[in-house]
Amino acid sequence: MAEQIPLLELKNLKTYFKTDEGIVRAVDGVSYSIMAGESLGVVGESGSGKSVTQISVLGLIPQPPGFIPGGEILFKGQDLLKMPKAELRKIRGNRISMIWQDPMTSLNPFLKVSRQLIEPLQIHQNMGTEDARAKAIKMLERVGIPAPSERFDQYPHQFSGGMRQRVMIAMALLNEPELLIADEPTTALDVTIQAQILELMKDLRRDLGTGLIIITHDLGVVAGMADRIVVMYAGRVVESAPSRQLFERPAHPYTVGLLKSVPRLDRGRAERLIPIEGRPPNVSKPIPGCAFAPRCAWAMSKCHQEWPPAVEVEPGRISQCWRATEVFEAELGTHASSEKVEKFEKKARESQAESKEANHG
Amino acid sequence: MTRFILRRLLASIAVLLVIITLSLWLTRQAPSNPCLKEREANTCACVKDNFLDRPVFPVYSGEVLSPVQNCSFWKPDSVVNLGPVSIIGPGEWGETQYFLYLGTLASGSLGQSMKTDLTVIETLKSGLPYTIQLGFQALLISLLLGIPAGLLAGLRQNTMVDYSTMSVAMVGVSVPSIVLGPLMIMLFSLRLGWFSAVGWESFSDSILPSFTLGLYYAAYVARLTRGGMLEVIRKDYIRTARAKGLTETMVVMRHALKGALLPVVSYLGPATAALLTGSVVVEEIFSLPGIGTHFVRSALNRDYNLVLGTIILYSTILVFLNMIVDVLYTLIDPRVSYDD
Amino acid sequence: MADSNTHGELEKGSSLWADAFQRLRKNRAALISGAILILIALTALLYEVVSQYGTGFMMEEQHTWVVPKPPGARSVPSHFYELSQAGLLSWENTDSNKDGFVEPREIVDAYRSLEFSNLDLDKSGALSYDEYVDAPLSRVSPNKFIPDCARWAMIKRSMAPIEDPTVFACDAGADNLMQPKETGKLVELVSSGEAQEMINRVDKDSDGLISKAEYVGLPMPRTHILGSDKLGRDLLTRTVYGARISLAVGLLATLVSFMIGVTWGATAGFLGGKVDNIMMRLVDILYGLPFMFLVILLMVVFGQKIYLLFLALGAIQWLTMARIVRGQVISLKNQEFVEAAETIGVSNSGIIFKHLIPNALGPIIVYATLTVPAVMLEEAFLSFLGLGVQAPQTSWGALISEGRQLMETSPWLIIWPSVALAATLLSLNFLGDGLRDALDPQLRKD
Repeated sequence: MAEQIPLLELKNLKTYFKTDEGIVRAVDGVSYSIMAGESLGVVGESGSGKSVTQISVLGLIPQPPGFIPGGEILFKGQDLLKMPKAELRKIRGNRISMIWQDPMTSLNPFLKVSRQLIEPLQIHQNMGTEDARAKAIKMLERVGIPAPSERFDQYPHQFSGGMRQRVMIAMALLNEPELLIADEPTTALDVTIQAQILELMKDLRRDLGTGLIIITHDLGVVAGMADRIVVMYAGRVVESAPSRQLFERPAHPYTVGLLKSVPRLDRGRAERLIPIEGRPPNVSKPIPGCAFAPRCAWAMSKCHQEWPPAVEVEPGRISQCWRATEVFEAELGTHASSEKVEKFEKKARESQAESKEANHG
Repeated sequence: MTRFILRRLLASIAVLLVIITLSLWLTRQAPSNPCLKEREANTCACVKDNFLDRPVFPVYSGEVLSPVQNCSFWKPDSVVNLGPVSIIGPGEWGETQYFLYLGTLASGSLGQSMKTDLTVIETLKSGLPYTIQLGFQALLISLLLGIPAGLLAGLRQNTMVDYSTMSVAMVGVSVPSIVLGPLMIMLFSLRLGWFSAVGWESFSDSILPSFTLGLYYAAYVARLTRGGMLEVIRKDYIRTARAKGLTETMVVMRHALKGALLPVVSYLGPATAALLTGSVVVEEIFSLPGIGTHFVRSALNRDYNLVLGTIILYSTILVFLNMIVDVLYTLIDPRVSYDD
Repeated sequence: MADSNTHGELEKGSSLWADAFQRLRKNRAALISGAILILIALTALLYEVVSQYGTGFMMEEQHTWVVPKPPGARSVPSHFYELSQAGLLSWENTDSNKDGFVEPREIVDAYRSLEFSNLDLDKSGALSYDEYVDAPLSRVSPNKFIPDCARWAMIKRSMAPIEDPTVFACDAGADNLMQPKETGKLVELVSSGEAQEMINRVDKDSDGLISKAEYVGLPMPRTHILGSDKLGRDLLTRTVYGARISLAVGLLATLVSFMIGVTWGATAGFLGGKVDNIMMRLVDILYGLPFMFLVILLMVVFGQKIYLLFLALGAIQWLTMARIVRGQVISLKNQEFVEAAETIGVSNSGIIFKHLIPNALGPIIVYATLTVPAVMLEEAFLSFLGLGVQAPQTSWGALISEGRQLMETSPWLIIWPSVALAATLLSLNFLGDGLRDALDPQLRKD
């Protein structure tokens, strides 16, 4: 197989923010990559840095108070961080597009939808107004807006939530970008609309061959949409794997916890929900060791001291955990019952206690 | 759209009626005709001495009614018919008199001054253009100085540009026209001799007064605009615009500007009222021949009718301008529907 | 999480007020402003004490000077007696003709000598041109008017000396030194009428003269720190009394607007529905009224009484207050934690009030702080036009108006009240801004 350059590759990206309380390390050394036409899901709790990572890609972090102390963002080999602003602008909305979580606030309420839609065409393709309008209306039709030519000149507040998100998608795809980044695109929508939007996105991807990075905290969304999944915690990547395999055999205690905290319809009422105890850490203080350790059932003393290396539990799968292989082999994926997970976690805690005694003894 | 304008028009007329009624009522509370209490013989002399032989509220516009020779005309009952003209006297007022008065107004007459032989309209006619020009120039100054300053400060938040502009604005808002005006006179007229201190002969005479009136509001507008810009520039849709690849200039001009100016547009209504009120003081400071000078003089002279007439004139202008501003606001903010 | 907050979540629990106070402390401008305001307020309140030990002048003090004196000039406050210092004002120095009685002329002369020796720095017994120029009453001609000596002699009787060398030459004579008898108004501290008044105060046997037994000394002259006006009234004193009125109007009118606004707004907010609608519609209508004119009409019709001023000016401002209060009440009604608390059955309303009221009070406090300068401004405008406070009371606006008449020749009369007004307004605005930033940092609008 010929060595393909990844469409987008992040290498050890760091994005920090200066605040009154100290430096917030929102993104602290994140690396992952996505190939052309692939779809990547980025999963994590709020505060994990998943959004900030992607916003950094397009250079949209407000620079004070944010700053990027290190790392590379390679778009087809070119480092976006080193690119002059003018060139970066040519990529935005053109080769890399982004759609946002809340379409009501993300569309300008003072401008007609038509004006906002034709902007990317006018800027990047120098299209005349008439041509741009025609193309935009066609795109509106493609995303499923009924009577597009009539609604074209309306204002955003005259559209419903789902419709607005479709408009956003249309706006993002007008220039047929190579990569679409979707930041929690369905979180603000009703569940029924969610499914429609996701289907639409899948459809369009197929037609246009666009790469997709979808950011979400909702595992259900990512299950249907992503080829690969990256799990983030406290500004770092903790696990990355093809999505099927992530669900079947997670290799990180956090992933295990995430999977277990999702209520399952097929398991009957007896199955308990196991929440992950504790809270996400305060990222304004530097964290020694693994960020998840305080909440981890599998944590050893080493975990509190040193950040674990990337362990390749399988070809193409990495997990940043000292006990990755153990977790992997325990097969605590979605097929496993809660009891099994609890049993293993109990064992993990005991073995940890034993090894502690062994150390002291 | 026409329905909307019609509704605003009706509302404006309602407000105007409130003002007129309130002012009228207040005027009627003034110490009444002293001669009615006169028990001695010289009632006629009393009437003439107190300028009471001048009819005060004539019911038609234009012509001045000459003093009525017959002093017995001045009786408590109030409506006297002199052929085609009815005169509302100073006695007790009831509904008839009130509606007659409204009729006067509707026919275009504001009545007659109590201390001179001129009608209110005649007295004010010459002054109106000066006042309007003063207010207009001050408004221009406040917008042309304030908006760019505020935008700049908002876009460069927390930099020296921001701090210095806002410090100047803060001072501007704290230095009222009664301080600024004499200061400018002392500096530019007395010391430097660039402008004359009083009167309005040529256009250059209006420069100092316009700045005196306008700088305060320029500072206020600058603060408003900065605030508006600060709020807008953080909005998600600005981020979307940037993500589409627009240059920063395009982002500001096309997407941020409208939202940032919204607080200024909604302030235009109160601003007009403030400018109108402020013009009274500025006209006094620079001795300008506008309506304000007449207003102050009539107030100090207790020429109630002239005061009343001036207030009604000012209010009409104000209400009318407010209506225009309201319509303007709906044109800018599409979220406000016409059926509001 | 519709908010695009990209910072990490930080846990910090501290009370609302402590937080706000912290933020306020960091705002240096607001703190300095607060200090200035307290200083002004204290001076205004305690001026009688200050004047007793400091400046020496009282409000009712008037002299028969025709010319306003610039800052640094001296007058004799005749309203209180004190033992004089030994020396120039001792009995020996005052009773110049040694007849055992002190008469008005001798008092006038005693003061003249005192002032002369004050100016005569080299104690030469005569004033050189430099010493003359340093005298506070030696002023530069505003019109560069240099009369010839004959005319000048006539003018000088009613005016203060002018420091042009030619005019000095007219006064000083051939030896170019001004002798005591050539000084005219330059060293006159009291008129003979005032001297007579001083005598009358201690004259027990009512003979129009003071005997040695009755003599207790003469009051020391005091300096007019800010100058005096055309009736000889000390400007600092008048400015301070003006402060009392201006500040009082500001505070009381704000209080009035607060009370009306809070009542109206809270009622509308609590009752909601149709009542709320009608009440706020009324506010909307009233919003468009040109209130200043109505206030002027009010003052004209009912007379310019000061309590009317409080009420009228307060009545202008209540509208916005009502809107703010209503908004707060409504948002509090809808707070989820209120509902939650009700569900749980929290009976301790104290807890609720620890959170509800501070939240509600924030914007109200901010707006009240910003209403005070607005009201003070309006009062200044009215008084400036002559439609505000009436003599004998005075406010900064009235002082500025008076000062404006003599702007060319006596600029200090308009400068100092203007500075006082501007400084107070500036401080209030800074403080209000600081409070707004402290109580609601997200509201960094203007």
